[in-house]
Amino acid sequence: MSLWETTQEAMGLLLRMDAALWEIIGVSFRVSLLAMLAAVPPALLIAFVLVRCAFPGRWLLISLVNTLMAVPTVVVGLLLFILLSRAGPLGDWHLLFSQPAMIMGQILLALPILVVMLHAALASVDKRAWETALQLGASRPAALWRLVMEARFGVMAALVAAFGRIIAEVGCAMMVGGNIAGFTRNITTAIALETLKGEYAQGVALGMVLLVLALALNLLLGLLRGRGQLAVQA
Amino acid sequence: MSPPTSSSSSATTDESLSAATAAAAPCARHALLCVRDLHYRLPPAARGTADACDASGRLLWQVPLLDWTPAHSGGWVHLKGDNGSGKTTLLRVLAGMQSPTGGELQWAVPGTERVHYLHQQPYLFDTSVSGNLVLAARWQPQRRSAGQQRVQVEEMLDWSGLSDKARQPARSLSGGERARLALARAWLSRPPVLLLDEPAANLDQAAVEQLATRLEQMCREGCAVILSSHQDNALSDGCSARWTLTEGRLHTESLL
Repeated sequence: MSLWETTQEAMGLLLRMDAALWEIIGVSFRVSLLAMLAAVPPALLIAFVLVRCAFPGRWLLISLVNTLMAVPTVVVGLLLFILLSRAGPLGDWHLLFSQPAMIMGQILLALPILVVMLHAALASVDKRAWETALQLGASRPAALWRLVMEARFGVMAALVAAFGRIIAEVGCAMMVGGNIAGFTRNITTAIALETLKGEYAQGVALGMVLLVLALALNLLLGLLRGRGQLAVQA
Repeated sequence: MSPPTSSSSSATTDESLSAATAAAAPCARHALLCVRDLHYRLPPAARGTADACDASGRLLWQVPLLDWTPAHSGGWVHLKGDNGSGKTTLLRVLAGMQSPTGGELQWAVPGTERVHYLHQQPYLFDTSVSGNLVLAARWQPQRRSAGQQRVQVEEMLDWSGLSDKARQPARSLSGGERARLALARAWLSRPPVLLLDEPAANLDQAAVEQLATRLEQMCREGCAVILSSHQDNALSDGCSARWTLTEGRLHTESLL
């Protein structure tokens, strides 16, 4: 089958709302969105502490988080696999090859990038913002929320970048999810499997979804960067 | 707490008092601010010349004894001192935003959050003019209904003369307008004490006069105001007392 025919078949699958295809897309979005929901609050708190608090080992922690961004997803998957396997310390949880395991893996992958980018975003806000909010009577959570709003373009960029990273990763999802059809099969693991089977159409269709998503996220990121720069100039 | 190295010659300070005696002296009955042996040393990293240093850092200023009661007739305190004399640090310590090296400080108002400090260049949040006031209304210590908060915001827009610019981004305002907005935002919750760090810096004569008019009104309504500057300006005319930081000592002088 030629590339053109494969692409036409892939478009057909997408437009016909093929149930199996859209279920795979649904798993991907559900797992990644839940991972983001779980990862953002602790990442925000860690970033805030790194910005606001001076303590011994702060720069070591920042360097460590920066290093963790570069860890291959398959290594994160391997570590989590060891933890969740029957003989592992978390074996009793019986989470291996389940969506919660995939979510845990994606949380671990999202955290470093979120912390690094949120740290940069919050650090860019003038120190007087925090003091002014407290002076005006804001509680600490309210003042922190105000800091997030002051750095909203940078914060949004962090969310978009982290979401883009975890929805497109394959190593960790494959290792701890197991690529079980209708349960833990997501876009990236499905592409890998379908390609090995020679079923290129579904792989290409899913690849198109990822490409469109990547394009949309990058456009959004560019828009946010532009707006952020405009806000700084104002 | 390190003992003070010398005694202050402020009007409310008895030079014959030892540091220990000053620290133990009770606060005057109606004093709004009571200070005992308050001092601030620069961190060792920020030391100046070697002869000005000791093991715990150079002494920036000290206030052995100060009891301050604002004048009934209004007017504010003008905190004067050269650049680098420690005016900002003193104001931040008085506002509870920075810890002194040692000593005691007591305001006769409940909670240090009722002592409001305004930066030399006030920070305006990245929202509209009215948005800045809405945040102040939402965060004020006294609970207010949404309707009452709206009324407060409208009042403060009128008070600051910025009603016609309510929807404009706060950061697009001129220097004088920014100063008025920051003052209105601080005044919205009617803090009993307001500390202003160099409020006249970078403002033209007209803007300073507009600021002075509003400060007079605030003082008449019972707000105790301390403002700093390194030189006399239009705001100096309305002061009822002058505190001068010279060579690390605070000298107080009543002008009534």
